[in-house]
Amino acid sequence: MDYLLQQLINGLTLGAVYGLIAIGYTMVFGIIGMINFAHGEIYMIGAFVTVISFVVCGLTGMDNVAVMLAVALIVTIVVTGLYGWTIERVAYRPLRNAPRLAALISSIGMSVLLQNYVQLLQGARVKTMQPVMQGGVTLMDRADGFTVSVSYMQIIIMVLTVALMTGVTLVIRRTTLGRAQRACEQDKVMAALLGVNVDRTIAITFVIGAVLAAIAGFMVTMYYGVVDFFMGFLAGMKAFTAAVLGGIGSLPGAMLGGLLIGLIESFWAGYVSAQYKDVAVFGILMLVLMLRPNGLFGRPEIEKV
Amino acid sequence: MKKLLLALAVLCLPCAAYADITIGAYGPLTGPVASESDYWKVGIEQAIEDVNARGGVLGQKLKLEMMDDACDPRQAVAVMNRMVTKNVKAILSGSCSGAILAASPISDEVGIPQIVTVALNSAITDHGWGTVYRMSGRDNDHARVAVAYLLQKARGKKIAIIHDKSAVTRGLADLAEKGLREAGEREVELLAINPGENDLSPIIAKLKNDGIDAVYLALFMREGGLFVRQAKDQKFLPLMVGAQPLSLLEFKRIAGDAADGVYVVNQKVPEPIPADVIERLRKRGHVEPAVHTYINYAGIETLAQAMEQEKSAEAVRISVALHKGRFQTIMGESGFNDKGDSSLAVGLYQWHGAGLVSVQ
Repeated sequence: MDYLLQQLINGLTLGAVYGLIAIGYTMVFGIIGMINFAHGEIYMIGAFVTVISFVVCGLTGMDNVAVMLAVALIVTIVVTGLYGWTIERVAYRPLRNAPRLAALISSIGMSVLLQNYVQLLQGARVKTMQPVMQGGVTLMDRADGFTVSVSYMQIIIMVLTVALMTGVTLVIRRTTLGRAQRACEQDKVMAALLGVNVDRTIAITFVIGAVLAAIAGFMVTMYYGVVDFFMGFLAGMKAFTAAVLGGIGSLPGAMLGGLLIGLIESFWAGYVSAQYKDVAVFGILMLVLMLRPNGLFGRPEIEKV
Repeated sequence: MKKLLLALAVLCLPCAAYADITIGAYGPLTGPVASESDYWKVGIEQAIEDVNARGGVLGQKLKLEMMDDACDPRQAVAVMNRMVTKNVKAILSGSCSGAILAASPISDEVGIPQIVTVALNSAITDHGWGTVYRMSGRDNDHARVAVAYLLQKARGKKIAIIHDKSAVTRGLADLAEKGLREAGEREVELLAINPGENDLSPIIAKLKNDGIDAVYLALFMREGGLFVRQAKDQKFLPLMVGAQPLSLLEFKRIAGDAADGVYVVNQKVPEPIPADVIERLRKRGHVEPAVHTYINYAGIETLAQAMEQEKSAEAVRISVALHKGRFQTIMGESGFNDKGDSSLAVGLYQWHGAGLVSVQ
């Protein structure tokens, strides 16, 4: 039971990160019906900006860890948000009325471009960061010495994810922006006729997705302490899988998908084999899609005639 | 007349270039273990500069042709093909056993001697190419030291071995498991993780639940550092013995304070390295020189002495000298046995603060 609890904590932490990245995929899909394959790279850029911000903070003589964390987080959000906005302007807006395939190719091209750009700019080596916050809380002690513990970073990741998830849900349900987003999702032409600035709404959606990915990149850098130009690929694939598993286009679906993938990885590694956990994740995805082609929370697309 | 002299001088320019002795070097300058190049690349470059500053070899300067295999066997084959066309007289190779195993048949076919500096997989010299030599110990030497220490400190207890499925780590893990089982240990658990994996907490929880007392980490710096760091977060503190890559500063940077107390099997530095050499290596590199730096420096010294001993820079003659000669390098005196393995020893070290200390 205690072992199960420990794996649950590990899986939820990992799943929270996947969930945050998955929201970016699902929001963009919801509003323009297209998969943004460059989203994993946005997450990678968020992680790099975090490391650079910390280095710059250190160089300027800052020694208060809390202040450094706050500065790094704000810089990461702003810079990565700008990346999200620029990518939408450069790679997607010119193809708004083009066939879907063109935008898809454009997003794959943007993903390759960003990966190579970071590799050239920052080098191919792994960038490392000393642990900023260590230690945690012991939840249970077993007689044979096994302890169930949760680190402070794991707590921060889970709490921050819940807070962001709540925030994004409120924005979409209760604000003018959210209403505009939902309107664009249903019918962009009608929304424009009713006075919604469609281009701006889509751009803001990209920025929100990028900000969430940036925060995921920030948390992963704090938690693991390693960053490299290739990290966005697998994380992006897993988050995309999470979005599809939950039902692409659905916000709670993306979060649930992320958590499920994190839990599958954790339990498979813990109870079966660590080396085949990716096989398990994608295998289960295939099974779910065979039984529920629209994912867990997805709605079947209805064609108007 | 002046025009004729000028024309002759111009014609002689390529002659001067051909008079250089070209040494090839390849290893991962990019890719997952690119950070190791902070050590091996610096060692090679500085050694060549120092040899040339002393007047070169046989009155000629050494010239370096450095290429990137990205630790990828396919790229290593392409790199070796290019290397052969560059008329290199000898080759030094970096740290990826898989890449070296793939590329070596090409250099062997044309008889170019290759000194492998830090790659451990036994197959490199067991293959019997005859032109491949190794400065570092073999994986069975490294595994033997690790097993001996694990048996000394954790005999009869539960021991886990973790590798990342690469040629070198898999080889080390298999040898360690075999050694422990042959010594009568029954509770040995062999586990593999995916290379590039960030989240190792599920596997750490599993080891904790299984009551593991000692772990042999046959991993590279990134995965090894993450394991140690996340193990400390989960309050899992067994005896940890790591493979050679964990001797590099990148491991310490990732693991942070959790690295303190971790044991590492590493190439022994038999005598103090001259202070002026360390200073020059420090100036050239971005990081404090380590055994990887010294052993690559020693590799170039060995090649230079081999050419001097045979009074020839021809590939075949260099190979003959490597077979029969003894060489005085910053790593001490060494030679190569019939297989091509060096006589340099392997030892046990432990992380203390920012550096490694030798364990008797």
